[in-house]
Amino acid sequence: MAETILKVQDVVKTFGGLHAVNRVTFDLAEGEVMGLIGPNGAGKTTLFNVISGYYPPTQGRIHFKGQDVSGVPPYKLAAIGIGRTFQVVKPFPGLSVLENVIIAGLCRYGTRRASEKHAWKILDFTGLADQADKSAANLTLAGRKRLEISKALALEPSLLLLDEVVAGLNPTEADKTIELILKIKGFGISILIVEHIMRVIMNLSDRVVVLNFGQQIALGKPADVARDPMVIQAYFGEDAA
Amino acid sequence: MFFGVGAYTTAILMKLGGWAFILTVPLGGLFAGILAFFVGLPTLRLKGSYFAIGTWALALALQQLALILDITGGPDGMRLPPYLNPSYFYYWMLGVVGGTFALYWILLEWAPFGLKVRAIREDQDGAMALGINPTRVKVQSFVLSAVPVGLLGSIYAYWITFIDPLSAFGDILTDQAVVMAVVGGLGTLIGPAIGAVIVFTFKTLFWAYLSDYQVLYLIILGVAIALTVLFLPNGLWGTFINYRDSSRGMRTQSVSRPRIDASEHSDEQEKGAPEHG
Amino acid sequence: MELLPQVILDGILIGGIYITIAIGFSLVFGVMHIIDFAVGEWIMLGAFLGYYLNGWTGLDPFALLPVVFVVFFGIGYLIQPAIQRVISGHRGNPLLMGLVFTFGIMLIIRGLGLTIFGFYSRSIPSKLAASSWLFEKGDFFLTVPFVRLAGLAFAVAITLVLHYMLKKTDFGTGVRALAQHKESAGLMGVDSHKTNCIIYGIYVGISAMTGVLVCTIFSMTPMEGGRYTVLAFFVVVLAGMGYLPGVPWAALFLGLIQSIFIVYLSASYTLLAVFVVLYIILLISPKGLFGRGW
Ligand SMILES: Nc1ncnc2c1ncn2[C@@H]1O[C@H](COP(=O)(O)OP(=O)(O)OP(=O)(O)O)[C@@H](O)[C@H]1O
Ligand SMILES: [Mg+2]
Repeated sequence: MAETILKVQDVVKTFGGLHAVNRVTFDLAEGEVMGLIGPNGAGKTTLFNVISGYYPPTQGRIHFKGQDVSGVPPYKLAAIGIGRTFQVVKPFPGLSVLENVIIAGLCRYGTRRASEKHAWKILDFTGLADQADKSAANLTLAGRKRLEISKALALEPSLLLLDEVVAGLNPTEADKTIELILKIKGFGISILIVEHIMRVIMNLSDRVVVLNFGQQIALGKPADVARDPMVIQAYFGEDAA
Repeated sequence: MFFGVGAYTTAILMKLGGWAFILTVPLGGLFAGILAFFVGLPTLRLKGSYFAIGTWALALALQQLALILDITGGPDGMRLPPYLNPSYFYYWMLGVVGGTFALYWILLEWAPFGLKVRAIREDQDGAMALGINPTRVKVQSFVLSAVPVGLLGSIYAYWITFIDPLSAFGDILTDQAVVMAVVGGLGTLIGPAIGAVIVFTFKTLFWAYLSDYQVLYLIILGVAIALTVLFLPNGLWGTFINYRDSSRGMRTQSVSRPRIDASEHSDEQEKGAPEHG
Repeated sequence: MELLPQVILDGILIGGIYITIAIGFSLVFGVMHIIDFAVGEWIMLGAFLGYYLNGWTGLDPFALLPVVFVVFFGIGYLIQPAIQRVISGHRGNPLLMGLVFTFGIMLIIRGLGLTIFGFYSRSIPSKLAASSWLFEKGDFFLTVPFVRLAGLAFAVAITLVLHYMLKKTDFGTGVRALAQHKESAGLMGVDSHKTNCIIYGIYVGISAMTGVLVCTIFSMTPMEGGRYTVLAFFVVVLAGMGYLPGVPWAALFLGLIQSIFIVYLSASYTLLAVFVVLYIILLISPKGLFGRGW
């Protein structure tokens, strides 16, 4: 078994009285792809925000590469290798696609020139190279989601958090993104991925965590989780009925 | 306020320390920069309002300090030996302004710094995810914009040969700081510096020809500020930038921060958008 | 002679005035996120209206308060839409824009004030001004000036009225809904435009009444508005921006600091001292004394 890269221990995050994330615990091994699923409002994005440092956990600990990183600010986490995308994409709209990715590379490559070279490689890899000079505001939704991935990749992360990067794409685009994620996995980057589309989760994940109303209701192999009665009730409820 | 710091640095060093003017100018800039660092550090972490209030309150506290200390001459201010060679000062000013622009240009157009500043302006949360520390970049920008103003203050002190707490930290100067922001466009790094130059020139002319009409000056200034803000939300400089960019066809919208429509897809609703204080 | 009780009492009495200076200001920030740089100017204008009304009618300044309130409520009501225009819409930093805009207003008012009223200091005479209570018991000695006591009573009354208005009336429910969530307040049938105008009117009215008080207890010149703006800022930042319940305590706290400084150190260091205290508190607890600010 490979080394553990991310350890989420008993993490709680509350907003006022609402337990958006309630005692979630799991480990992620190096190179592993973990699916994170759950109905709308289950707390998936909130958990991402806690792991990537946007919210300090109300309770519980997060370890990354053996180091306690609970409450460490996002920019430090980015520097030590946690890359993330945003469900509501966050491009820098007034900048070009290339500039967006250059900025992401700065913390690894220091100078503009080196970072630009790196950015072109990333854009070639994600298939955005031909749109490099476009303003990020003018990209299609698929383009913006791809830009999110490109920026996260430019950090050269060892852990990648993907929040619904496939949702909203048409089938062809979706397949291309899945293919991309598989290639990223091929580099040995650990991935935590949130997605509502089961096909994506089942295809990509080694294991799956299921949240419902902030609580972790299942953890295991995709096939096993899909058979879990609690999960079926909580998540596939409508389908099963 | 940085203007006042520069002005008093030169006045005190020349008068009490017997320093040469040339040596005091860089120190005026340096002290302005150091002060900016200490004001910026706690306040720039917080929301914009605290920062604005913090700097303003500090200006008042400094004015108070200048009023009660002995080395600043208290309310009587300080008089410097006159040096009657206006062109000397013109060259100095030209040097400072030129140097400032060159430095800004390099930093903003060539160094990573400019990209980081833009990233934070466009989307602070997005920038943090890419390893950019917003507080640090903001403090750096603040220091960078304070130094030239400190330098100008140093030059001003020797040029006008008289400073007192009111002219250095007083209302008139605070007013000008605001004009800098408005004229220069809020949020751009270079804007305030351009505003500073305009105001500096304006003020020098004003004192030369119109110093009997101070009250009128207040009103005109007030009207100018209110109208600019009401009708040119991005300031003159920001308006110019947007005009330039839109005529280049770079941006689709002329507003400083075009919004991406997040609700393009039904499950694209903003729920967990990180919001920071 | 024991000084401390007198120092504390003075602090509380000054604090009372600070409450009235800051409470409307905090309300406006809490509801519509406007920082009004002109707050001190409204106080100044109110003082001068009070001064002239007193001169014409001979009425006691405390009796003039309602008139001053009504006049300035109207002014605030009418001016609010312009400020709203500045802070809404696609602007980089609405808060800062509002700040700069009101700064412009402040300059205009100050300039006009100086043109019309001149540079002299004025004070409104009041029958209360001359008298005060005196406690004496051996070494123990306490002076309570009537005007200042009336000022404190006024502050308490304003606080209670605002509290009642916000907590117990339908209008107050609408205001609180608006402060928390613009869109849903609109859905609930709150007319946000009108509510904003009314709140702003109330704030300008309270500030103007404060001016009358200040001008009766101390004095006023058209140059002095800025001083009260600083005080309002200090109190509100200390209380936590927009956290209304914190205002009275922060105001009293500030009053105490000030009176302690004046007596035990030096009056000329007061502003500096207050600033240092504020700076330290902001470093430790950025959201004010209670950690409940914006
Ligand atoms: N900043 C916040 N303040 C208050 N409540 C919040 C905040 N962010 C999220 N929530 C609440 O926390 C809960 C979990 O939200 P979250 O966005 O994490 O869900 P999600 O699993 O990502 O949902 P979706 O599948 O729709 O993206 C929701 O009830 C949401 O309303
Ligand atoms: Mg989500």
